[in-house]
Amino acid sequence: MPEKSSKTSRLLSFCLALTFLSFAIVCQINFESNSVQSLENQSTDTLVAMVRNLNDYRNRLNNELTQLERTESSRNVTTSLEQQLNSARIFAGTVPVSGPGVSVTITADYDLYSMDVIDIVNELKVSGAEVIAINNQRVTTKTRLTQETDSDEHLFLAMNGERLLTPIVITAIGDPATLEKGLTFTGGIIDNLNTLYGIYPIVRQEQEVIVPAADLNTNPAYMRLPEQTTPAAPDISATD
Amino acid sequence: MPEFLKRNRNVLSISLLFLLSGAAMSIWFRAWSINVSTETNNQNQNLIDVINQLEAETVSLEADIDALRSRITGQILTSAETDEYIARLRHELEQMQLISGQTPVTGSGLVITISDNTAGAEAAKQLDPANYYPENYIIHDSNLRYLLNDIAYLADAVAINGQRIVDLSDIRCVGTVIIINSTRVAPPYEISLIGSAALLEGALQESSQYIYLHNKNMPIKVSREENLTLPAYTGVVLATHAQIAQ
Repeated sequence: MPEKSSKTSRLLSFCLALTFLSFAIVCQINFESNSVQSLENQSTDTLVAMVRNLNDYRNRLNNELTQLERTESSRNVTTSLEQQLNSARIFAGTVPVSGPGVSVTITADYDLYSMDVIDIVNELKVSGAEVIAINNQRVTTKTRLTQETDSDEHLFLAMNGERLLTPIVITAIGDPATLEKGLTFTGGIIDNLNTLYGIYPIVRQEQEVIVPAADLNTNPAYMRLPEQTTPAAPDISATD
Repeated sequence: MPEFLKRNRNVLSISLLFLLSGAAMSIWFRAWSINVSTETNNQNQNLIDVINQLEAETVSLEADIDALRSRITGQILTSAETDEYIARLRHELEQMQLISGQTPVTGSGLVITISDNTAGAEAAKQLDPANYYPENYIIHDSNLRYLLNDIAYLADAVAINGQRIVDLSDIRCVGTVIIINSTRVAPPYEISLIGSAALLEGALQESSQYIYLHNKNMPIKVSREENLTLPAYTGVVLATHAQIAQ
């Protein structure tokens, strides 16, 4: 009899442990999805801004889809190929390009950090810039900005290891009004530079911005196409 | 163990029952606690629903665009044309798409994984709640931008959490949410770089941003990888304002 009761109590504590374990596991899952970055923890303003951004992005994707459908239905291989190639050239930066846009000029009067330039370039991309250049050199994923001091202890900026002469002029091609607004809105990057650091860049809409081709390495040594890339390959989607 | 089970046939079913009841209890508990806090958050919940809906739409649009691009490329590649001009254009198109991030690529390189300093945040909160600033313990969009600036120039291809980084990729934040290529990403941030692992690691060690994050005790893991596969960029490619200059 005492044999039996000790067995029962062992079973009971085992069951309790299981209950607790599963409770803990599910709670853990909930807590993980409940991080600082989850949507549930964002303010209304943030959520509204996200909706606006996504709407804008959806419109641009729809536009892209329409254009591609037009290309596909053209049925003329040469025309289709030429169209595809031209947009690929602009995107990859192998050709000089022109178009309307903005210029941001920062004179030698201010000590500018490389981070400021990186942030201005990023804001231009956020506002839909299609091509960006700094002092007439196209910005790519391989663009590196650094700050250094010369022999006279003067701070200067370098792009890909070469000193950037002042005034530093950042140019971008895209919708001029949208690009300008993206930089100059209250609480935006220019506002911050003005009020926090006393730096006053000059932002101007431009009818025509010309950006030369990028200095590209067209022979990457380390990356290659995956083995089975056929046009009908299954979607290799992002995994986080 | 099988002997034990044979003697107690119902042990298995009982344990299952209790496992389930524990799970049910926690779900109920969670639902209850959410109900209490979200009475006032109905508007936010609507917005979250809209965001989820829009994200689903953009993901499906991206997939449509990707499929359409593949079909067009397929048409071009399989066309019977043997024209030398067309062959040359074809070759250039493939090359352009490869170097600009429009195809998936594989290769060896480096993976840098950065996360929020949650342990540090907890400790600081316990120690001195009045002087606890949560933003000091999370990775910001700017951290990722500055880090990429210091190392990406040495890489053939870069992706963060499955988002391929191309010339037009922006890394921004809205609230505390980081958005890359208009897509939400969450920590840990896994930066995959295809290139010389030795050179990349060297540049990382010298990166002022890496040193800064390291000194702030942000968890950073660096590993050399032989076989990395990065996805293609799936966002907007066509320029509507820029055209080839004469």
